Amino acid sequence: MLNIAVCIKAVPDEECYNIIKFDPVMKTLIREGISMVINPSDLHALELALCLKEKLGGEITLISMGPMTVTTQLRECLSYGADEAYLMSDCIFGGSDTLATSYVLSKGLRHIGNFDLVLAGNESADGATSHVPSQLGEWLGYPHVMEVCALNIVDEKIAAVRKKADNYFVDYTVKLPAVFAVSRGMNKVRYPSIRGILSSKGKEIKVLTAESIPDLDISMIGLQGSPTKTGQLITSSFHRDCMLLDGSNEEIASAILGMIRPVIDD
Amino acid sequence: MWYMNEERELLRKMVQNFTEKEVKPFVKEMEEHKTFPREIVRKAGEVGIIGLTYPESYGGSGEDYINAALAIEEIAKESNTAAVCVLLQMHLCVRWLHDYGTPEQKDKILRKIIAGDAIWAGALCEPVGGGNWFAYNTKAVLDNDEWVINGSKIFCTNAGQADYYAVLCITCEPNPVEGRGTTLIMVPKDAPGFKVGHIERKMGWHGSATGQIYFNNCRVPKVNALGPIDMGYYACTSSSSNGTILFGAACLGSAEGVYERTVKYCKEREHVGKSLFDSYQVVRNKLAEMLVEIEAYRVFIYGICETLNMGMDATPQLVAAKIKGARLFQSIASDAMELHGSNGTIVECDIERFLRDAMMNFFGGGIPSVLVDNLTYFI
Repeated sequence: MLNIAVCIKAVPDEECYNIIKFDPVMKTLIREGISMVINPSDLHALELALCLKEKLGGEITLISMGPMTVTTQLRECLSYGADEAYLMSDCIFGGSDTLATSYVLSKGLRHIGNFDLVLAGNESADGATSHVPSQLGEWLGYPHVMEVCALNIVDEKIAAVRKKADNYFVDYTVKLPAVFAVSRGMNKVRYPSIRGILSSKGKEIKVLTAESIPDLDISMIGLQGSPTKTGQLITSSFHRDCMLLDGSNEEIASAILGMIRPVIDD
Repeated sequence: MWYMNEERELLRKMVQNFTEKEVKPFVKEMEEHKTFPREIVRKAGEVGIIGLTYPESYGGSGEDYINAALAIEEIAKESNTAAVCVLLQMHLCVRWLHDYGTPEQKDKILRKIIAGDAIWAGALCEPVGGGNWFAYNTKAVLDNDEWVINGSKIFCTNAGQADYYAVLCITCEPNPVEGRGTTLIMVPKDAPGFKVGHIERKMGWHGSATGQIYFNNCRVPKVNALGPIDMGYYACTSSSSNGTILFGAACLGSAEGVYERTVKYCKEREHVGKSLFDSYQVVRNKLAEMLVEIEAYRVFIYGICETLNMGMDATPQLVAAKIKGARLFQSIASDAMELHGSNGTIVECDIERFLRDAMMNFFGGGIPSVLVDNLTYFI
């Protein structure tokens, strides 16, 4: 029987990328009018959790940090077959960078109970820093492995995992509890079953605020607890000009070289 | 919409995803090679779509016609054929088994159909007799503990694909006034004396197999009778009518699919520097008129679903929905064809496929003129 926690993040739907706007003062994403979806990598972490539960038994607990609207994504995750969900939502969590976010999540997980495995997607589709899983492992004092593409529970205390590196794999034997960041190629995400969807309405999504966590250090969360400071916001220009060159092949090649060289030499 | 809630939104989203990944890639195969979408049906069973109209005791999720219609509507946005192949396992002829099958039959077969692991077919129509089932020629006689069936059926949907056929047979001297004379008998595909004949080439519903089946001293156990002996007419007509609403949902979904493709086309297709949509009021108005029809039909369909969910009879409304659905889908597909111009006739454009499938809805499950005649009984 495994007690598995899966970290879930709500990210903007990629179909909304062309209408996303940023608050120029807070330098944060303006969420109004943007439809949110479950971070795609997190679904692979959830799929791994479901497979482990089916094989070995146990319970799956979802945890997320974000505004109350994230209950929609948590409800969807429950429909896949997770057992319970916690949403850490408080306005003072707003503006947290990855360090502050992982701190809040670690405190939440400690508050909820003891887990054998903490799973997360390897990266988020919006920030894509891949910081949170490792930071979470550090806060919890658990070993952590990123880019996990295979996992086997050897016994109650040990997991064998395979990490995907650039052009090779690394196999680790990891003492549990541990944090694993699951890569997208690890598995194929199932469809939530109709029964799962219909039964999800009976599952409560518990909300944890800052006050719910007694030992939460307020100085470590939100903007004040975030060492990451957003610099200048700029909009990249993708404007391209077309120039037609006349002449022989040699002349055209020479002209192209003449245009490229100053840029390379710069 | 009034019928939507969080769970139904999740259901809609799941089926949308299912359609994108499982149905869409298979459309070309169905169209070009007339391949039956067995894998789509199997997976629809696996995720629980087929079980939306069946009780939990046989692996379903409880009867909820709104949930079932939502699922079929989503699939039909991509393919009317795939939607029809799935909905035929969700209700209609399978309902005969659900309502009249013995516990053993249901445990053995209905459970497999709901899981997507078995295909069911209803076999009624014959070369002579038309809508008069008592004039059919396929006969079954009891020989000790076996039915011996002789005859043939035409326009049998799922011919050659089904694992089980529910065959309407003449089993005594027909008496149409009393409704006596026919019995539904279940024939497995490997029954001795059973043979699949010619599979028809149709203008639409290319993935759905329609063909002839033959019975030459075909023997099946006596216990394969479905429902009351000699009263098959009532078994057929009393139990399957609610499933008609799923044909309506398929027409609604496909009309929406055609409409969405047409809006996209009209906004992208340039004409003298501007899109068709921006250039012509007649185009904008035509699209608006299409939307009016679709949204009105949506309210109609889901209103009937709610009536059925409350356990109330909606027979005339179901007949009306079947008639209106075929007309709506055909009308939207025709308008879409006009707005697409010559592009609409190109196979890769999808519009001609939808128009062909729209025409099939005039015949599958009842011809509107016959249904209109049926409706007059309620006036």
